Amino acid sequence: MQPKTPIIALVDDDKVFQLTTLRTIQAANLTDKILQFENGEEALSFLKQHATESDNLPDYIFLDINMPFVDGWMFLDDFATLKTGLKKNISIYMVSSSIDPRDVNRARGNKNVSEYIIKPVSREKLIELLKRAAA
Amino acid sequence: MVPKKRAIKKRPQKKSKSKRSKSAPEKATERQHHIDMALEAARVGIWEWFIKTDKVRWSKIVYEIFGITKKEFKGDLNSYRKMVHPEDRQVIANAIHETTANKKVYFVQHRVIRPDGTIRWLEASGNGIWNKQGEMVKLTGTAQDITERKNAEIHFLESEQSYKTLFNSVEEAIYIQDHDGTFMDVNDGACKMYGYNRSEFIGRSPAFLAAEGKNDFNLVAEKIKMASSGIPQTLEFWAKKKNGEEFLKEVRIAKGFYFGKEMLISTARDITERKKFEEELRESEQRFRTLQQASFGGIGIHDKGKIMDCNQGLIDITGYSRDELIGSDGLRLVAPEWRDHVMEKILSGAEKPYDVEGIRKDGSRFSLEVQAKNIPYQGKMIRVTEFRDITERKLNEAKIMEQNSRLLSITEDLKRKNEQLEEFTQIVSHNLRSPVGNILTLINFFETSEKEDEKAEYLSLLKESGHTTQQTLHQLNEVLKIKQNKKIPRQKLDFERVLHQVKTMLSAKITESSATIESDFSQAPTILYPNIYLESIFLNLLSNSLKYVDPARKAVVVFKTFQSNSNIILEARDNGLGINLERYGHQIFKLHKTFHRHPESRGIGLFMIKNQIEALGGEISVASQVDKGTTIFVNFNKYNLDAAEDTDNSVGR
Repeated sequence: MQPKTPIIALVDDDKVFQLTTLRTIQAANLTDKILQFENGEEALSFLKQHATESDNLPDYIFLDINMPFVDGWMFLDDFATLKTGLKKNISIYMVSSSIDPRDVNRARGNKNVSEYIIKPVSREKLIELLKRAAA
Repeated sequence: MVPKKRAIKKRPQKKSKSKRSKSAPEKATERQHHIDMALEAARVGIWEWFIKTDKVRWSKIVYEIFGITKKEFKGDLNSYRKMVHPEDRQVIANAIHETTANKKVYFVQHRVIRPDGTIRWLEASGNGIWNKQGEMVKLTGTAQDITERKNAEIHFLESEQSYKTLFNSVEEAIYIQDHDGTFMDVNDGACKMYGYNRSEFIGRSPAFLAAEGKNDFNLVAEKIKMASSGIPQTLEFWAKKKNGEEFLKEVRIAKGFYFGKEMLISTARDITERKKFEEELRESEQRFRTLQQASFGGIGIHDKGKIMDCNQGLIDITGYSRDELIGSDGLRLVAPEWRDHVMEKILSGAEKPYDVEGIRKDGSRFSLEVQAKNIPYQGKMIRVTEFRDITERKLNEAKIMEQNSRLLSITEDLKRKNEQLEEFTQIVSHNLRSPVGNILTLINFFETSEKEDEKAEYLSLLKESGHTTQQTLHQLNEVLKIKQNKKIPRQKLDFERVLHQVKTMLSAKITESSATIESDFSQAPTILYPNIYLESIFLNLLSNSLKYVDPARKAVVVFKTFQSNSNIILEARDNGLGINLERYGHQIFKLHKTFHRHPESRGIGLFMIKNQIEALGGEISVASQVDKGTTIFVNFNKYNLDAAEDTDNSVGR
C-alpha cells in the first residue's frame, strides 16, 4: 500500500529534536525523505501547496505542541479541514515534552492523532516508531 | 235562635190577655193593628202558606226583604223558591219536610237574590196548622232580614279560620296555657317539634316535655308568674321529644287573650343548632384572639385603613397604646412616602406580602413587611393586616449579601490563582522539560557518536540547551517573585512621567520607526502602583507597538487613562499590524509565544507584565484587528480590594 520509502515530516521548533531525529532516521537507514518544518504554519502551507501530489506529501508527521506562531493544536484544527483535499492518508504522531494530562487527553481525543509521545524520545523508541511507519 | 222565636210568639199572647176588657171584634182589630205596628217597628215580617191552594201571603216587611212590590209576586211557593239562592233551595225543602212530616217547628236561614242582584240573608220561623183530620193546612210565621248579623257571623268564622291557619302554619311552636301552665291549645308547630299530637298536649302541664335534670323549674315557675303579671318572659328550656331526643328551645311567654279568656301564650323554637353555632363562633373567636395575641407580628383589623382591632404585637412594634391605635388611621404607622403605595394595595385588595418603611410613635423608622387579606365582617369587607418588623431580617440579608459577594470575590481570586497555577504547570511542562529532555538526548548522542564534527555539534547544542534552561529558570524565578511579592511597595505615580521615562529608554527605536506617541492622562493622571511594574508595563506595551508597526502607514501609538467604576484603566492603542485574535487569542499572554515572524519576537514581555498586573489584582485584555492595529487594556485594580488593604498595611509598617 505505502510506497517503499515513506516520507516523514518533522514539525518542531526544537533544533535538538530536529537534528537528533534526522540523525537517527539516517543512521537506521529507514528513509531519506525527511521534511523539516519549524512551526505549524510552514507545515500547513506545504500541505496546501502539495495537496494533490501524493509523491511529495508526507506519510507521517511528527508534530510538536508548543511552537511559536501556529502551534500543534492550531495545526490539528486546520489539518482537520484540509484533510479531505489531500491525496494521501497521513498519520500524525504528537511529540511533546508536556506531561500535563490536559495535553495528553486532548491529543488522544483528536481522531487525527495516532499516538501521543512524550519527549525526550529515546533512539529505540524512535526506531521502533519509524520501523512501524516504514512497514 | 229558638228562644228568640218563642219570645215573638209569646208577646202577642200576653198582649191579647191584657186587652181583654175591650169589645171582642173591636179589640181584635185593634190588637191586630198593634201587633202589626210592633212587628213593623221590629222589622219583622209575617208570612202564610196555604198548602191546599198553594197560596203565599206576605206582609209589607217581607216584600221589602225581597226587594219587590206586591204586584211583582205571584204569591205561590214556586215564585218564592225562585227568588231563593239556588244553593239554599234544598234547605227550604228540608225544613218544610221536617215540619210536615215530623211536626217540628219550621226554621230556615237562606239567601234571597233581589231583582237588582243584591243578596240578603233571611231568617224565617213558623209553625204548621193542622185540621182535625191531621192534615197540615197552613204554614205561617215570621221573617227577618238577618244580613248584617249573618255577615258578622261569616266574618267571624273567616277570621277564626284565618287565625287557625296562621296558628298552625307558623314553624314555631305556640302553646296556649292556663295560668298554672296547663295546655289549653297547641299548634301544629308544637306537635311537630315534640312528636306528640294535639290531644296529648291539651289538659297537661308542661313538665312532661322537660329533659330530666336539665331545667331549673323554680326559674320556670318564676318566669310563668312574671308573664302572668303582664311582663313577657324569655327562657331557655331543655326539652325532650316523644322519641326521647333532647333539644334546647327558647321560649317566650306573654299574657294574652284567647277566645275571650286571659291566657299565657308561649312561643318556642329549637335553638340547638343556633346554640351550637354560637358556641362554635365563640370558640373560633377565642381561637382567633389567642392566635392574634400569640403571633410575633402585629395584627390589625381595619376598614380602609381605620383600625378596628389590633393585637399586642402591633402595640409592641409601633409603640402606640391599644387605645391610641383603635379608631385611628393605620396609614400613620407607615412612613409618609409609602402611604399612597399602601392605600393602593388596600384598595386593590392585594394579598401578597410587600415591604415598606414603618414609622413608630417616637418617629423612628424600621423595615416593615406588610401582608393583608380581605375578610367579610358584619356584611362588609374589612382587611386583616399583619405587620412584621423585618429590620433584623434586612440586616441579615445585607450581611448575607456582603458575605456572598466576599465569597464570590474569593472564588474569583481562587479561580485566577488556579489559572495561574495551570499556566505555571504549562511552563514547566513545555518550557522547562523540553530543554532538559534535550540535554539528556544530546548526551546520549554525544556518547554514541564517533565522528568528531558531530560530537562538536552536540556539545555546542548542549551548551545552548543549558543556556536556555538557565534562562527559562531565571524567567520562572522572576514570575514567582512577582507572584509572591504582592506587598511590593506602591508609590503615587504620574502616568505622564512614567511614559516620559520609557520614551527616553526607547528613543532609538522610536526614531527608527518614526512613530508618533500621543497621550491623554487627564481623566486619571496618577496611580498608586509599584514604579518598576508600571515602567515595565509601559516599556513592554510601547516596544511591542514599535516592533509591529505596519510599514504601510505612519505609526501612531496613543496612551490614555480613565476611570471606570472606581477602577483606573490604561488604554494603549496602536495602528500596527494587529493580531488575528480568533487564531492566536489563547496564546497572546503566554511565555515564549510570538505571533509574527519577527527577529525580535521572544514572547516574554506580555507574559511578564500579565503576571505583574494580575499579582496586584488587575487585569489585562486585548482588542485587535489585523492590518488595523492593536489596543491593550490594563485595568489596574479590577480585583484589588485586598491589594489596597495590603498597601495600607505595608505603608503602616
